Amino acid sequence: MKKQFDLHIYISDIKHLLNLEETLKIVPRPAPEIVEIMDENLIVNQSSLTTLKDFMDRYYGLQYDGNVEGIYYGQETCENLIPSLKHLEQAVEYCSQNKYIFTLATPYVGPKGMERLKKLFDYLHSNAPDCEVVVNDFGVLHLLNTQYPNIKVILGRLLIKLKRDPRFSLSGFDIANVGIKNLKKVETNQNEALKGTSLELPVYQKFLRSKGVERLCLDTLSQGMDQKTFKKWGFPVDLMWPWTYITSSRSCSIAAHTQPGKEYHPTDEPCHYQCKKYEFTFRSDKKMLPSFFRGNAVWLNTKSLHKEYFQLGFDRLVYQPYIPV
Amino acid sequence: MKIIAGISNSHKPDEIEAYVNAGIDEFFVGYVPKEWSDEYGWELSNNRRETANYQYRTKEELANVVDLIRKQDRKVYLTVNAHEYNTHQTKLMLRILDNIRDIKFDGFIVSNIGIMLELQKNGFDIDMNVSIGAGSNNIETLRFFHDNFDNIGRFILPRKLTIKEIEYIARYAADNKIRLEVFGMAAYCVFNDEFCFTWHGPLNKCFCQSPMFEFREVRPLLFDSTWKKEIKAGSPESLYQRQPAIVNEIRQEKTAYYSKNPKPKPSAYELGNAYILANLGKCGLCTFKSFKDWGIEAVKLPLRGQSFRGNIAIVKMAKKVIKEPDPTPQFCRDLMRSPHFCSGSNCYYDYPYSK
Repeated sequence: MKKQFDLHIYISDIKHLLNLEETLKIVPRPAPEIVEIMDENLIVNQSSLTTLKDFMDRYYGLQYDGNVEGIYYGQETCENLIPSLKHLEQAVEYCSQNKYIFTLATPYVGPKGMERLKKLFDYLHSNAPDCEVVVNDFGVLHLLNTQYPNIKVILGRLLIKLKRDPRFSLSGFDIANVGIKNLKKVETNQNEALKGTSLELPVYQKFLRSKGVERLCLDTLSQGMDQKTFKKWGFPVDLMWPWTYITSSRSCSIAAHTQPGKEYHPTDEPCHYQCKKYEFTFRSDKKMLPSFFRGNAVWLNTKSLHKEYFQLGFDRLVYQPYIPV
Repeated sequence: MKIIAGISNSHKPDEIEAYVNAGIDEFFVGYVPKEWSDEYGWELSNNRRETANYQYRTKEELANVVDLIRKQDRKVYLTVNAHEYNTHQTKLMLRILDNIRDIKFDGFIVSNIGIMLELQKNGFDIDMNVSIGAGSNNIETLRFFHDNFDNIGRFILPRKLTIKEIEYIARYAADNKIRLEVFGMAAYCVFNDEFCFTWHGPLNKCFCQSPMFEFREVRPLLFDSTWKKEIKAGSPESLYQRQPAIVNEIRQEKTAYYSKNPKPKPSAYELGNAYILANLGKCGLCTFKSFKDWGIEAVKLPLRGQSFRGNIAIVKMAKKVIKEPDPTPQFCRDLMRSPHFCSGSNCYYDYPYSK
């Protein structure tokens, strides 16, 4: 069978990138007492690699580790985790040596974050003219358009604002009947609208093209997606899997958790990277896909949705071996 | 600096005058007629408020409230700020807006670029105020919207910017004749509105107010990037030892703080006026002077769906602070008359600028 998508790997930690072989390695299942203390991020690393391996082998007769086309490096939700220039240089060098397409993922940013990104764009502009940048902030898009026009732009998943919520990832949501006669019709329309975006509008597509946008990133969403819908968008689509973005904040609850008397930690204040030490987990009596509060964002594990998505005709599969934090 | 607040059909028409007298200078409203709710219900609102009583539902109601506001010589804006509209929703929204063209709004509050382009294309040439839903977190975003749209009114800055960040953006805006609006009191949310894609509304509850979120648990991350080698080595004892150390560190810090800093007991005034505090959520009164000094045009009080009596009290407090030439933090605290309330966790901007 003809290969349907190009495989790209999305990594936020330079150590994981420089040890890509290890990052993509499936190791023998550890003893139960170790599995018990492994966090879901690590468990999903192994189970998603197995899924990916089986899929590529079964449908394309390919091994994933020899068929990686490119690397997405960076971060999309927290400007404190924007890579340093040194790490960016290492990442670009690594990709150049291994002939990977290089894509820098960028978050939404306040004024300081914008300054950090300018330094990275200056470097890319001079040293990696063929690179791509994922934008999740229209200000960043404007900066690229006006100062770095040679850099290729990908519209990030945070700018495609389709609804998603862990609580309704497997269970349905309730529909209020205030003043509504035909609930069935509303339900049908809602299901349709949950897959629809302004990207369907020709005027918006034209606008994005005029801003140099060449591709789009889409999360693996539990409401499903059909080929007809995303073909209407008129851009090649990169599917982000198996970690789906849900929500995030510039007032970080994780960073605040160890700070006495503080409810939130503003992004603008010095960060001690508590996101590398612990996460929040959720429990619910509802049937739902697992979700985690890692860093300043909530993430949904959509590994199990690969069957619905992998053969839809996406241009790239952007595989996240770990939650990109 | 003006005060802008939302109103809806849960507010009685004769309350408009009382709001104006208390100090509201501008209003914003949502409009979800039957044409929309029959198609998409309340969960997929056309303005990110998923509740029937946060909206006006008929053209007659809407025209009536706009007329009342106009008679008070105040401005009124219409929210058209859903995150996304598909093709059918866009056409429906344009049809709805076309049907109310004769109702004179001072502008739309918008966040989605697709609908902004369609509004422009279809001859809706009134101001477009850029909602927090658009995420104007930096100067470049202001430039982006100004360079691409002719009729930008003002920008509503996201609630999660710090005071220093607001100052930085506001000084640029003042130099470039860009108009800004900020949040200063009342409802606050854990997440950034512009990047929060979860469900809201009374029936499905907000994700951030759900039991699932409320009872989240902290879990230490015991492994680093060499975890695959570490588990191959197979020494779970050392890994188990790391866990309580991190958990204890977290528990001890919090417990020690709250044992040393007990919250003051509520005053008699506070107990008698709990309705004000219930409406307030968070307070940023002591930041208003800075906002004024930096040339910010308006401060938003999100009061829709709250009690009229509490709302009036909040608006009056806000107006007093705006009118006062030098409203110190103590001046604001005296207005609030609640040492219990004025603490770090109730502060809109986390730490007052005066510190």
